[in-house]
Amino acid sequence: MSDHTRPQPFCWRAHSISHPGSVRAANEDAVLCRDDVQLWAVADGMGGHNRGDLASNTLVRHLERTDARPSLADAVDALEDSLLNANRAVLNYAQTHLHGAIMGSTFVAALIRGNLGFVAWAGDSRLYRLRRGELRALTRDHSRVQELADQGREDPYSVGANVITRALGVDEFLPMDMTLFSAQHSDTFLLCSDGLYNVLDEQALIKGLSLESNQLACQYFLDTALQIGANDNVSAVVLRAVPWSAP
Amino acid sequence: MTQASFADLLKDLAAQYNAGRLSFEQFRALRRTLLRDAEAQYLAPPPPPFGDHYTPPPEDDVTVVPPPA
Repeated sequence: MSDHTRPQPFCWRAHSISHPGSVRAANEDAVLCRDDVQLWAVADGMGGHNRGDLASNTLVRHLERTDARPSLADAVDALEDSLLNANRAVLNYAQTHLHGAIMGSTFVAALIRGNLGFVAWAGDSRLYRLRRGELRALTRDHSRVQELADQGREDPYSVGANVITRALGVDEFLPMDMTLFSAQHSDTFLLCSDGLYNVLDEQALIKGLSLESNQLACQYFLDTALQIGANDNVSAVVLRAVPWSAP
Repeated sequence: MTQASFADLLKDLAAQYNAGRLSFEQFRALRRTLLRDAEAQYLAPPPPPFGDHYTPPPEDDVTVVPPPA
């Protein structure tokens, strides 16, 4: 095969932001950027419960220790092991230190190998893909609002807008969804907490993801969210492809 | 008949596991088979450290499709 026809190897590089927002004193979100193993995540500690920050940070700490695995099948197993260990750790902490009170975290975690991506999630943290100017959510919220929308309710936001139906740390069984997606070298991906997409509309998300670098995109998201008045924590991981080079 | 995509098959596997119709071991084994099939179809072997070979990408997720049985 000549160099002219040989496909250009590429990998994915990310930048992230995580901020308490305009109102809240504490940041219960946590983010993970592991370009070294092509793994990224956003975790959103559950508000209104005890120690949501501990839950989200426990999750990210476990993902930071996830082994490097070249194959996607192996990497997904390792990711799942880390998530299950984090789930047990959060449950154990709550039982030991909080008398069994619930603390938890939503999460979205993505792996990419070449042009094949994998995403696992629980709760309402999301993965978006911008492709040729079109923004698409690749995850589907586990929330009361989503359930009502699925049932065809005209105004799902009228009831239980903040109710999350799945999260890590809530039960010994961790019910997460997962799927595969395609990743083209011209795509840009966004993992984020609800504190971002609840204040920025689709056009603002597209505008940010269309900026020339991941850093600029993250800064745009944070500045815009704060300008509007983010009443929740704001977290985002933006990733896009770069020519592959040895680490 | 529309052929199920790898993405849909994985979603379905997870849904079956979440509903208690598969054990953890069954779920993991079936998922590994599925992911290996997807990798074989869409990643050029052997990949450098993390599978960064470029394969002409499908136009959308629906085209991440396993071959006919």
